[in-house]
Amino acid sequence: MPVLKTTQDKTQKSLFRRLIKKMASLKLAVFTICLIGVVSAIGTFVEASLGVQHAQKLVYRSYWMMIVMGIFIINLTSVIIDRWPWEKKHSSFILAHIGIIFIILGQWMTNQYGLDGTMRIAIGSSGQQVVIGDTEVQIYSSFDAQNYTRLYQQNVDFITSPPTLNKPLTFQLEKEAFQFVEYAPFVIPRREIVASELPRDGMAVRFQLINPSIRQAQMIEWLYQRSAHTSDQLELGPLTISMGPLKSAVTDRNQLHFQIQDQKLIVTAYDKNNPEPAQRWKLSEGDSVPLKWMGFELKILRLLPQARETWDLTFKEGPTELTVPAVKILYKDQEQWVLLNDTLKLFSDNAVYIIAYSQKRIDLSFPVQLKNFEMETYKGISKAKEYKSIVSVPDISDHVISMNEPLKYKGLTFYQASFQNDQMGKPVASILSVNYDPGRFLKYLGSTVMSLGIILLFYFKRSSLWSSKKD
Amino acid sequence: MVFQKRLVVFMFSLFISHLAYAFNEMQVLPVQHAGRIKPFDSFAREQLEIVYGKTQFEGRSAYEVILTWMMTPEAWQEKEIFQVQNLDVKKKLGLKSDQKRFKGDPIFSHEAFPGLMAELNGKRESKEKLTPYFQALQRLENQYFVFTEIAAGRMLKVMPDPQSDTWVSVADLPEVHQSEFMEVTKGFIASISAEVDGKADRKALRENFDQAVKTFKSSVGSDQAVSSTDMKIEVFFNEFHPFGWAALAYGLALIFFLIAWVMNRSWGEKTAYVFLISAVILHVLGFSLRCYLTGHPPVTNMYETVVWVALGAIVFAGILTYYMKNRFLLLGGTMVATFCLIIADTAPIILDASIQPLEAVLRSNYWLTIHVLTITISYAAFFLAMALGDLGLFYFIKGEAQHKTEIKALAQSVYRSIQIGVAFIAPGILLGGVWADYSWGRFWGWDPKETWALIALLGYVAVLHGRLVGLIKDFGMIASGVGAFSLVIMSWYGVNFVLGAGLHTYGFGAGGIEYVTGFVLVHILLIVYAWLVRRERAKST
Repeated sequence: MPVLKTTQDKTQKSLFRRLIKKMASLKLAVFTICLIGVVSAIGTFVEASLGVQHAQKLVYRSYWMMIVMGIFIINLTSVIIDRWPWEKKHSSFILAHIGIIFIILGQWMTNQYGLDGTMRIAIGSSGQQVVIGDTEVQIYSSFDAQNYTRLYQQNVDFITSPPTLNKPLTFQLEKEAFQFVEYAPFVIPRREIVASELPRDGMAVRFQLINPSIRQAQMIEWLYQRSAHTSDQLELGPLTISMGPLKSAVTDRNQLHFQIQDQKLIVTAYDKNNPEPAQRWKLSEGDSVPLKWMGFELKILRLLPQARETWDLTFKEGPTELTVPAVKILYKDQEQWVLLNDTLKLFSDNAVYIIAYSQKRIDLSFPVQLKNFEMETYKGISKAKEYKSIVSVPDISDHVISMNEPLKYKGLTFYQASFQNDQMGKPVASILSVNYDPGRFLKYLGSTVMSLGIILLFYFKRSSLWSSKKD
Repeated sequence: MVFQKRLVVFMFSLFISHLAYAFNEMQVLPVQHAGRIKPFDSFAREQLEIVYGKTQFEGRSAYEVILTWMMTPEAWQEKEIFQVQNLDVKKKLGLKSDQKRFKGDPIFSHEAFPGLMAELNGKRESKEKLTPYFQALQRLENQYFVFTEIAAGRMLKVMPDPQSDTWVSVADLPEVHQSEFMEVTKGFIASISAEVDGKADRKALRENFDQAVKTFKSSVGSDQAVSSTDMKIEVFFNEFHPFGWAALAYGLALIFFLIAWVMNRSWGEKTAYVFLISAVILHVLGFSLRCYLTGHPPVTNMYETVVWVALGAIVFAGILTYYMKNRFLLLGGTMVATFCLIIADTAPIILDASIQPLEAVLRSNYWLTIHVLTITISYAAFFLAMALGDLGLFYFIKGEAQHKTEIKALAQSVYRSIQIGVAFIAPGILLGGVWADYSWGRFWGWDPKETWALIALLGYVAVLHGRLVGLIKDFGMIASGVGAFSLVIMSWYGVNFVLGAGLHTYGFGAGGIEYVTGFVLVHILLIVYAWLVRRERAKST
């Protein structure tokens, strides 16, 4: 029996050896290296035409990229095992290859368990949530349009698996279901107000305010009532224009109030601090009346007793700064688009549903307060030379985060990424990038080990390195 | 040897004569422009380049041209100074397609011009990437802006304002200084007309002009705002143009190396060394001056990296020559250096040589030095490998059997150059990861620039491993040296100029795609041709 066992052991060992030999093949290595190169190259072209998100989802973090990397790691590991028993001269080669394995594993850990998000904080305020690249759909329902309960929360990845008419993503509501039927990654949205038949929809008025003597002083605006019962208003300089139930006639501003009756617009003007109406008109589309204030004239361009807001979308082939992803919803044979980080209301006979399609947010469990944001420009031009955020977190106050100088706190690292300006070019908010990287240690260890291996490689070869005769 | 000695003396005296160059006071007048205080000479060169495409106009210096734009813009209406290159734009404006430069009126008063500008604005508002056509329109807009703003005196900012970061332009000068500036312009006109007419008192008039500028400078206080030595150094750098001379010296060295190579004469090689050493001195001098002027290692844009790679290729060729005793190395290195410096000088619109303020993220000399210098120096080694590979392909086409020793030596040289390149690009990428981790918060993010650097590394690593298994022999090594450089070109140029995506936006530019593609294609065809020739020969024997 023992004899038999040894032979079996021997064949097993040699089978293992032979397998390792196969997996350690240099030809396989060259092939895998080239394959990684080709895949990465494809990724850069995907990024150039479709953007970062698509490149990440479709190439770099795809399953087949993982398979290629897996083969590579098996190949590298087998090469190391194949050299067993190791000698001193193998150390450079082993270290260099182990280093690569560590770096790849470290990167895998980062992808799998790390956090990479951004945080926009307005100057003087604080934030607690980090926005990440993954998206989710949430559905809320309400029977009284006041209290909402969440029905669904589901992570969605429309880039790798976009819904189609044939393969929709379906959610069951009380009676009916609604479906996501189309994904458009690059649309340029424009708000549009259109006429509606539904009695619960509010009204909308498009009007113009002109001062004939001052050429610049004219504006065209929509005033839109979100539903038939809400009060909505618009602030235009010293003037308030309101619609729906009148909240209060007495304010410290002049006020115009709109009400629609029998296809006509009733406009009531209130002087400031006076509850008595100063003037009242009944107007149709195209009418205009002079106001008492500063020589302005009011002209009614469009009157809609029932209106709803919708998106006018322009579809693009690739991303620009203005495009956002959108997804089409089919409900009761009606098609509607919802944009990323926006919501859509659906009405059934007795309930209201809110569909929210948004980037996922992760709660930090502590607030980050942006005390101030400072930007220094190059003299005489608006190009930023340096910018920094002065932030406070629970244990550290007034820490300066600047380019190349992050803040480390509770395992997270906060980096200065960018900032937002208002129309005048004055910064209003700072954008921080927030990271948690569990693979960092492995990557740095891998880099060090690999560098050490390369240095040793030169050390062992130094005698033969420069002679061209032997190699 | 006498000839070589004389050559050394000649080159040295040429250099000294340039050092003694007498500056015109106007050239060193400090002006504020594009976030920098620079001498008027630099400002004038940059603006003339934008409008005209060159830094001189019919033999006249840029500063003279710009001054006359300011004083007598109407006199320039009849001159063809606006460079228009894009054929579509020419067609829409009814300009002759074979003409390079045009008068202002036919362009800017053409009925289609406002429409084109509206089209450009529409494209800009859509935030989409500008195609070459729109880039050409943008340049046209810029040319118009530069010319009219200079003519109106609004663009030239000459007086420091204690209340503000922005200097006061000539048009907005207080009355006292207005009249002083008038003296400057009068002095200029008197001096230049005396010079043109060859009058006897031209020296005195020139001194008058200088004096007027000096008075103006001290009166507005701009001589206090900035060191006049710095202004002089920058004008010296402009006037002397060390990289241009280095290109010439490299070119001459290359010619003599070729003579030595083809005719096998030792005097050719010795002469080549004299030129080569002069070229390297000029190159290093130019490099140090530029470092001093910009205050950072000059690897922040395409132009600077091209100049840096030229130097790197020569240095590596020198080091390898010392160890390998192989005459092809310096020939290859000189080929690379000449090529790079000529490109750097002849494509001003694509490779912008002007000194621009740095993006906020690049304002770290430490990281710039260790990451960018390492990565770009690896390009130099790979470029050298390509040049040597070209020579190898030449021998393969000429006849493999007769040139066995040369081919062996070249294959070995390509191999060594690739090893050097890998030894720099691998740590360069890792250091880039460390910097990215430090300033963007991630070690590796598949950004196109880092990805293409990795692809280049993978390509060369595949070559080195292929050699170990015997997949790659001499022909393979030489062909890979040439072919794999396309990966470097993609990483170096392609990401910024072709893909135009990712986080390394500060290096983005446009133009030259057809030339670069041509360069790559020619080399690939050369490889294919050599391969076919080899196969034919193998069949026939």
